[in-house]
Amino acid sequence: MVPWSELGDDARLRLLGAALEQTRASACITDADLDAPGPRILYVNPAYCAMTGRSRDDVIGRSPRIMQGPLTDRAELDRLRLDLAAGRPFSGETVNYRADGTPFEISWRIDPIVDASGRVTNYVATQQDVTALRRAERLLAAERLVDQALTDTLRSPSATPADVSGVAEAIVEAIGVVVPYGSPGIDLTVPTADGTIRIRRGLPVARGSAPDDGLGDVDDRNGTVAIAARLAFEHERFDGVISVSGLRRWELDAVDRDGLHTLAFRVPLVLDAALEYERRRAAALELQRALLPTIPALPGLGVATRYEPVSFGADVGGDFYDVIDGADRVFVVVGDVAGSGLRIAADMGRLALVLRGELRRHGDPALALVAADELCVAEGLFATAAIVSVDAAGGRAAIRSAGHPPPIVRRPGEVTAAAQQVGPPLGAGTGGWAASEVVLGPGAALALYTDGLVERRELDLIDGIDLLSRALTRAPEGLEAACDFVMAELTEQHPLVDDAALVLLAAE
Amino acid sequence: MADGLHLAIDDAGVHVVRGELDAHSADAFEAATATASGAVSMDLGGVAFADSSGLRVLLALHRRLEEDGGELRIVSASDRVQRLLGLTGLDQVLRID
Repeated sequence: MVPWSELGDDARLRLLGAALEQTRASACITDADLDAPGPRILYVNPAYCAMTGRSRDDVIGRSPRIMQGPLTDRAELDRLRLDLAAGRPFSGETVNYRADGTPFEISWRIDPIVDASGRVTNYVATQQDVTALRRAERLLAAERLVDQALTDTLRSPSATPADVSGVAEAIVEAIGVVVPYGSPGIDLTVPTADGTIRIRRGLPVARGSAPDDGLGDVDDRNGTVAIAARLAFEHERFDGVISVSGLRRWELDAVDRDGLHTLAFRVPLVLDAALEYERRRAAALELQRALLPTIPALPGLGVATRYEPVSFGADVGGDFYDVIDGADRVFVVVGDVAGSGLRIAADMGRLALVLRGELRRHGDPALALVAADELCVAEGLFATAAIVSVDAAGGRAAIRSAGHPPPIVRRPGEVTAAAQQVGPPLGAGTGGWAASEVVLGPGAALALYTDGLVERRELDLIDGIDLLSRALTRAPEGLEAACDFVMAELTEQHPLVDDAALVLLAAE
Repeated sequence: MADGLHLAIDDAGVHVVRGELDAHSADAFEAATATASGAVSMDLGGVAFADSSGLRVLLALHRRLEEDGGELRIVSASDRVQRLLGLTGLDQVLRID
């Protein structure tokens, strides 16, 4: 091999020329005349001709502007002029057009060529067709938007069927990313547990005008065109379209049809996942509701209850309450099985049933807790529970607490946590639950609750109980109104992160 | 081990637990203590937050050790954990030094 330094001028020029002619990188050399009508093309290499679909004879002597068209970015061209006038190299991206009018996206650089005196004699422009790359990037970004919206829905502790609309918004935004022209839209009918809902966002085209399958052009108004893709899932649960409307002819040519088609396949999958989540959650909550008792009407005693689930998916909690009408007194039970999920909900149901059965049979809360403890030991459960026996006159109550936070007593002018003697939690297998007597007296109310109401990561149980006491102090008369007030007070500053139950009772 | 929960055994053989002992880390705690046996000393002084799921695995460990003739001794607990153990009556079940 002859080293470069030993090559003669002719040999060097031959090599450089051959390299420029044979490289697959597109190159174009112009003169340096920046005055109107601007630089003219002196030379293009075969790669340039392949990229633009133009022959060398067609372009030599003409302006590089023959590559431009309606979607070419005017701001990029202004920047180009400024850079070249200042003697700076330029790099940018825009839309160019092939000889047949097909738009494509290029990334291009222009570098000044200077002679020995430093004067700019020519410009060399090198271009790369980045259409495929940019389309892939936009599709990826669009899919990420939709996936993120789905993830947000699945993580939302209080998602309802309406929250599928969050995914719908993201889909419209995603269409706009894949096709940055015209107006994106979606129109879709989806079945939910509560019947069919219609999701309509953006400016969707009429469904009937979309092609039966795949992607197609649709006559739009005002001389514009729309592209619509029919959405259908295998079992045809969904019916609808995604579309881009109001496209002008030259925009239509630049639309990434494959990208839009890919998105059209993804949309039903994502919506199906979101709706499946809704269905699972609805089923789990229904099971949980079914396991909670119906409060009997009790002469002389008013009871109000609240159960606030914040479950993620089927992750329902194990909180429960019950009111049992004994012969000469009423038992109010509140408890919480640690953990979450359908299994825990079922365990909660069994535990509530054991307590109810025992209290019905012999009316002895201590024995009922022993039976409940046995169940928890046998099943490896950890639960806390409190049983409050209220005498028929409603004047006195006896609390037995298995590791459960203390009931709050509200008397006129005074709200305090009941001074209870707490015993071990259920599942410890140790037993020993003494009764703590509380005198209720006229106008008094008792609040039982689960730790989900008063405990947060940032809120210590003790502080939460304090917060509940203060809320009860200011709560309005009337048990239902008081329940609403307390729930609002405790969730306003500290949103629930766990299921929470509240039972208020008072002699009437 | 899950984020937020760290368990290490110090030179004196004490199981030192730090971080959060809750629903998210309960499984990790169970896995990390699965082979513990005999008289196990545990330092909960560095546990900033615990919930009922955390107490469940603590109680389960206590019961397993006791059935095998061993025991679980809590040699230290943060204020928050101490209050929780007191409120749930677990201080009557676990040996707390």
